[in-house]
Amino acid sequence: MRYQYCPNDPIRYATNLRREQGTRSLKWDNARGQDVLIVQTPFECSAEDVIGELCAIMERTVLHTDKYTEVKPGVWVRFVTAADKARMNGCPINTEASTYSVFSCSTESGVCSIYAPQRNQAMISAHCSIPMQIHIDVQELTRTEGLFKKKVVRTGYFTLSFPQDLAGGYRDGDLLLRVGGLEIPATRKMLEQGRVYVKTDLRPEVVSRNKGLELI
Amino acid sequence: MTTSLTIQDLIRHFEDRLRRIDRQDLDDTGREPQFPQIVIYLGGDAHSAHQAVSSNLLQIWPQYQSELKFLWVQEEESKLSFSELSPEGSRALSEDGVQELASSLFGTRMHFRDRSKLLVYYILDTTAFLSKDDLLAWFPRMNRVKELMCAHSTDILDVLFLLLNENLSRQKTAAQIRDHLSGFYQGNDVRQAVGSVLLLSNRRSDNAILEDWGICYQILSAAIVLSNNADPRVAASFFSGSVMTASYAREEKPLPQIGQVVVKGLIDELSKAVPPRDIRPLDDPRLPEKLGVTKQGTLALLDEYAESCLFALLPSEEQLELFPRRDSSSQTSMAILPARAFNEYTMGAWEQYLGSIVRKAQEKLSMDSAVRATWREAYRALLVENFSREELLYLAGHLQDVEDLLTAPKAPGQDAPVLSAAQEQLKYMLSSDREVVRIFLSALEEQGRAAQDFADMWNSLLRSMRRIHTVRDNNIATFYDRKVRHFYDRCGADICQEFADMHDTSELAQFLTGTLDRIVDSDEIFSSAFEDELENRLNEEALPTDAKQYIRKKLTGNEVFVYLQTNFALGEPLVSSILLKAGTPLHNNLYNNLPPTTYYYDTGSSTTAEALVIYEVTAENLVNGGEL
Repeated sequence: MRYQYCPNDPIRYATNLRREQGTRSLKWDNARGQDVLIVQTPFECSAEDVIGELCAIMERTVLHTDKYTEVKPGVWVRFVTAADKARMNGCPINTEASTYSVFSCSTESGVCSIYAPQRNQAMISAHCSIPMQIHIDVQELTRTEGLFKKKVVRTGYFTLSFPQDLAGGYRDGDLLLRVGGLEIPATRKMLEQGRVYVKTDLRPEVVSRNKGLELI
Repeated sequence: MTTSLTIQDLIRHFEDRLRRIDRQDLDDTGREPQFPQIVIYLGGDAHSAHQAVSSNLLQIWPQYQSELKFLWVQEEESKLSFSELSPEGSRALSEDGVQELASSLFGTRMHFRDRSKLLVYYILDTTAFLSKDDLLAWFPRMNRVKELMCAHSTDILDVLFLLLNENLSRQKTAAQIRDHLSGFYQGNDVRQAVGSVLLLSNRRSDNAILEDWGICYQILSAAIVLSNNADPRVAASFFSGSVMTASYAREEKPLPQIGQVVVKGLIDELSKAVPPRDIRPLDDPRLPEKLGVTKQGTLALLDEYAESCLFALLPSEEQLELFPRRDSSSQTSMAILPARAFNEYTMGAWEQYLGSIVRKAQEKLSMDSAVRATWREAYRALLVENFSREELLYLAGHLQDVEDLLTAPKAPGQDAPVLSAAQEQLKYMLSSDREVVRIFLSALEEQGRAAQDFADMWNSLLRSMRRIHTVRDNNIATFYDRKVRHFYDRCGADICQEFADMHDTSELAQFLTGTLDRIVDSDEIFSSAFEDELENRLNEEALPTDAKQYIRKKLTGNEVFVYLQTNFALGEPLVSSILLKAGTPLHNNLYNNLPPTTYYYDTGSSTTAEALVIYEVTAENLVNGGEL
């Protein structure tokens, strides 16, 4: 499949992307029977800046039909047909702490045309930023010693426990661990592992570099 | 941007250089003007004489550059307008301004030896005259100009240089003018307006018709020089109240032809140093090395930056222990782990950490234009050292290939201990970054453009050679070809190397003129007096000619013509003069062989000798039978 990015076509509009209150579902308005492409980018990063590059990447990437596909680090895409939209009542979000964009698209003779969203719409937009509040539990690792295991002793380690549902859309380095004068990027692999260990006597600090990822 | 440079520019430089050498003898600068003087061009056609006249006068009196005054008078809408002409250009003057100009000639800062008189030289060209009335119209205007020069309080000696166009189509007007001039001796309006007239026609005594006034401009320049003279016999002849004409001959060092032979020889020699077009640096196995790429495929300049700035950001062995890990069971020191194992154990945090160092470096670089400029300049220096202009032109035209080569470092092994592997990894990451490498590519693009500009300028120089005629005098061509060849035998290799190493158009003109100066300095023939030069040249060709005798013949022989056709023979000359550098062998030769009445004017210049003979033209010789 070849992908091409085309100027806005008012007849093929897709806009007013939003998260449905209290759900993990995205909604949008589009022309009748219109297919769309949902693009997930790092929080407040514009998909329009990279869509040209994405077209080239998608040509050489096998895209999943029923879930998001990561086409470059931190950027995920998912095609949603008009039928899918009706069936799923929109489209589930991949992960939070991201910005989503909707582009109308149409496929003809092996060429998928992706249309630029309409600009300067005062009240509605083809983009939607979804922040996330997370809690990372930082605990000092201890063990008990003594005859009745009643003596608690320090092990020299701290543990960091990440929420399970964060890893999917996480971009390496969105979180930093500050320890002993170093700022060490947290990776998706750490999040997938759930709990990691840091050998230190001082409590590590976790900070966010992603404005959509708020630590609580 | 390419500035143009032509063969003509180089020949002109060569001529100027020889003339400057000729005037370097500060103790013997020749004679100087005796009285304050002003040259006044009357009307548009006369103004064409200014370039030649001012340049001729300043060649003989270079120290009077700001003291020789030139005024252009025109009539516009029945009003006279005045402009002062100077090397800086033309400056409009009011009538008061003209008076100021005349006054300034008598100032204390001027170096004229005798301020008792003001010499006024009018130049008038009849080419556009439709009848003699056009001539007559100028006399009241000349009177007005003379009034502005304060004729009542200043002793003015004036002469009108009348350039009489006697082309076949203008014969009628010319005849009317000649007839009118014949009344000069009866005191007509011409006589009222001016003290004397020097009449120069474009119809020579041998019936030749001049295509332009070039030679007449030289005659009137010589007449000005000769007449502004402390010797009363000479000056009095010019201002004695008569109509005059002149014969003129000039022999000089053939500077333009010599310049042409030398410059062409230089260009031919340098052309041989331009390599053939089928140059293919991409096939050179040493290309990566010449482009500053190390054996690891990284850029040496970036490696130096990594070593000096990024290695310090790596954690210490103790800090490596702080990296998050999969479990708390390991008892080994992190520092001894291979890089790959450490990265896996830290769940990719190590690779991300190194990436963050490189990212910070990139951000710093994007904001630090000074570092980028320093790198660009350092890389530019490396390029010009390692590549010829033609190679740079080729590489700049194959930028993508070069970019691929510069951004393809070999991934370092991950089996070394973590911190030593990290150093190679940082170099690798930095050199893999296309944005950073663009800084160096931009230097290549810049040098490619410079090479193109250079090639354009050089080709334009070669094209300008087609616009000059071959030097027809075989003697000059052969003689100076040999001189130039001799110079190249000694210095050609160095000069060609210097030329090959040149990358900037701004250097080319300087290099060529500098090389011409070296050629001039390489052989004293270039600075020798023109009669010596001629003698050397003729001797070299084994031509049994005495140069001085040859020059004397040229200056005073049968082929010296009067610049006016007359009905009857002209009488004895008023002045018979030779203008040349005094004290030279040629001067002595002429002095011993020409009549003792000949007057010698010391010009201080050994590149030229002029013979100027002034004759009075009687009324009978002026009357030409023109219809009135």
